[in-house]
Amino acid sequence: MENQHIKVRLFGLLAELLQSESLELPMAQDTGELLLILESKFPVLQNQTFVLTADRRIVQTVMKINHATELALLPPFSGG
Amino acid sequence: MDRFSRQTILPGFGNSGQDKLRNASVLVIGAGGLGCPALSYLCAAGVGTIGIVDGDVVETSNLNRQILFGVKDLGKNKAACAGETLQSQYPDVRFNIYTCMLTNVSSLQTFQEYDVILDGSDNFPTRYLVNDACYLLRKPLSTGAVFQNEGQFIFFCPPETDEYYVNYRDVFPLQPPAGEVPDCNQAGVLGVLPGLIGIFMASETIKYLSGFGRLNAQKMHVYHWNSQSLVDFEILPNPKARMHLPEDCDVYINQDYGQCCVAVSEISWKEAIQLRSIDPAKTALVDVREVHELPDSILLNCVKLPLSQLDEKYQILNSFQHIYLFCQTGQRSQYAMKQLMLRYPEKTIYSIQGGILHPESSLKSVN
Repeated sequence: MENQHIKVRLFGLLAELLQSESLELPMAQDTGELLLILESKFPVLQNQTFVLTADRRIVQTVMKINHATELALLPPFSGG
Repeated sequence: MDRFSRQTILPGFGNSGQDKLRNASVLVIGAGGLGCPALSYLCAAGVGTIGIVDGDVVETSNLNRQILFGVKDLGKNKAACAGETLQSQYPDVRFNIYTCMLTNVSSLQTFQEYDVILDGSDNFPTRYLVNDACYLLRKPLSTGAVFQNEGQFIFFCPPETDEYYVNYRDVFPLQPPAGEVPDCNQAGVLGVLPGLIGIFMASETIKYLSGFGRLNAQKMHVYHWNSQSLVDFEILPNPKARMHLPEDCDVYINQDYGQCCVAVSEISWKEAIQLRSIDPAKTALVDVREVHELPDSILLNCVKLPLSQLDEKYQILNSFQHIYLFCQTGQRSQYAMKQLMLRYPEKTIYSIQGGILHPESSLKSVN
């Protein structure tokens, strides 16, 4: 179980900044821990506006996650 | 055979769906990459009254995606030009044309006259201004935006009761700082992408107005062009949204949404050049673009202060009293203006409207 990773899909400017459309990260217990891992591994995220989604819901509070949770980071777009 | 026969024969749409569209009104904000295709399909479908808001003029670089315009329209106001083109195609549609940018006051007055607001604007100040007005007036809002090869769209539909309902601030409670998220002028875009998103926005609007089909409201749909995938994200109420939504219309009218809407600290190229000639030693034209960006501004005899070096090098402006900032489109210069106003509250600081790409800029022809 210790080797398990989780995958986080990236959209928009975040995919461009991190030069990838998805990230493989060490397993986190919940969304709060995941955000801490993300911001420490990728400090550029600290200055970006985005929301975390889990199983296609925009996460507003800390919630448990597991290796099967579908995760993504969504930034706002402004172009029109 | 009337022009709507192919949709009135659709099972479930019928004459009643058509009558609902004919009696409906939609206000389209921004006749740009999203607004043009949305307008075309709303008019083609027979929406009876269409309002078009845009204070901008048609530029050559718009033509890859703003499909209601052609080379003959360069320099014309977009709302007026789009209205003219569509009126000749669909004489049965009634058009209201608004050639100014939206303000807090005008949005409240204008939105009341329409059944749905479709926001195809290209900047965050307008997005938040429109979201908040729609929430306060409980107007259905079809909103969308693009970044390079991806697009987002949401249809916000107020419930019949007066309870709280999710809106754009439940996704992103606060406006990102100016300059953080690039627009199409900075990030680039193929015309088909806003074309697709604009049609999705019109499509949900037509569902809502006609009662035909299943409305997919209160969800953020994200379209990924490369993988040809469309993913839906459920939007849940966010306590932070309520903190930032204006409490009522009075609070809304006095809320500062940023420079794009009120334009109080923007000046034109003509004014900036004229003002510099009055006191050249004390006046600086400042290019805040990064060093690699073209066209080179050397001909303007300006100070170069890239936004990325603003914090460490802003003191090069110490000796100037009047500072006029510009970038490629006028977005980053607004951000730089706010930063510099904190450091130099006693100086006069303006952002030059439209940046290098503005038709009045003497460098535009080099681009």
